[in-house]
Amino acid sequence: MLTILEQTVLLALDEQTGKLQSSQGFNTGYALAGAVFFDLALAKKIDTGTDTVQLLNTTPSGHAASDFCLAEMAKRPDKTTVRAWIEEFMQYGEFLEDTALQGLVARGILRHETSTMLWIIDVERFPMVDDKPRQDVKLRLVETILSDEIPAAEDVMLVSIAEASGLLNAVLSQQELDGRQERIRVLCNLESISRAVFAAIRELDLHIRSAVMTSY
Amino acid sequence: MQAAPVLHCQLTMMRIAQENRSGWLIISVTGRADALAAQALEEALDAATMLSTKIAVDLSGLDYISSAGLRSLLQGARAAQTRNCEFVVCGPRDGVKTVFDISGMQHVLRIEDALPC
Repeated sequence: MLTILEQTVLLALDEQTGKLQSSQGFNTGYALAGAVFFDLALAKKIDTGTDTVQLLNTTPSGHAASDFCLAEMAKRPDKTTVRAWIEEFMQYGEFLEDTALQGLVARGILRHETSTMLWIIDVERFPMVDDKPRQDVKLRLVETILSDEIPAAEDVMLVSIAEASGLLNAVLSQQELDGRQERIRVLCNLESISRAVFAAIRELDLHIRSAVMTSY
Repeated sequence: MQAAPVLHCQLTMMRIAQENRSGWLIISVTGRADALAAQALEEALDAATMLSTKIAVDLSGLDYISSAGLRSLLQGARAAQTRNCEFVVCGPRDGVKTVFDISGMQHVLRIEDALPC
């Protein structure tokens, strides 16, 4: 079973460049932080209230990214809000991405290739070896958004992370997304972790807009 | 009315009781529905969907619900939908109601102020 972080990275991966493709670049860091938080919640390592997070169990889960975050949280019992930890883990976006990519390579879903461009620049690529897991993730997103059924908890998490990182365009047409905006809004609001991710993204957008306005 | 079997979740402060009333299976949840109690709640709701086609989850005695508790309710409702059961969550007190309002659970679950029977 892939972690939410691995599913997010798999969905976002541009095979050609080996980088995460997202129409909202800054948001991807927050989305990856949210994905790790969901993995910790699914592993019963943390529980969240409307704003706060409680560390339940610091025993390693066996997933490098989750365990790194778990260890960081154990060091800082004074930091108790979901939002504060999302902001903290956002700074480790590259590490979270790399760890997830390594996990996907180890599972035989991706292959790691390196080459040199112009004799000096190392270029990494992650071609798909087994496309079925990515297709499964896409199918679950489509079914969860287009149906009116009560969603599975893990699918709620996946939809909210995909929406936050601007990846829903990769699975549904703009017309389909426009028609299901209310469903997407409901799904993204259900989890306190998603709400913290979206609040952080909104605040970042405001800062960027404000900086742009003052520069003119 | 049948005698109410009671399940205590040993690790946390949650108690689940069930009784049949007027064709409904009433699942009463009291105490705290947090991560430690979530699995017991999910299992109780899943089992309920195999016993009755009309399930009411009485939360009038519930003091606190965390994200894990909300997920258990969601999974229970999902199991009920899969088995074509009617599933209604009833009587949440102010604190729990606030959590439902913030998360928008009323858009996904049927939530009523009072029990249907």
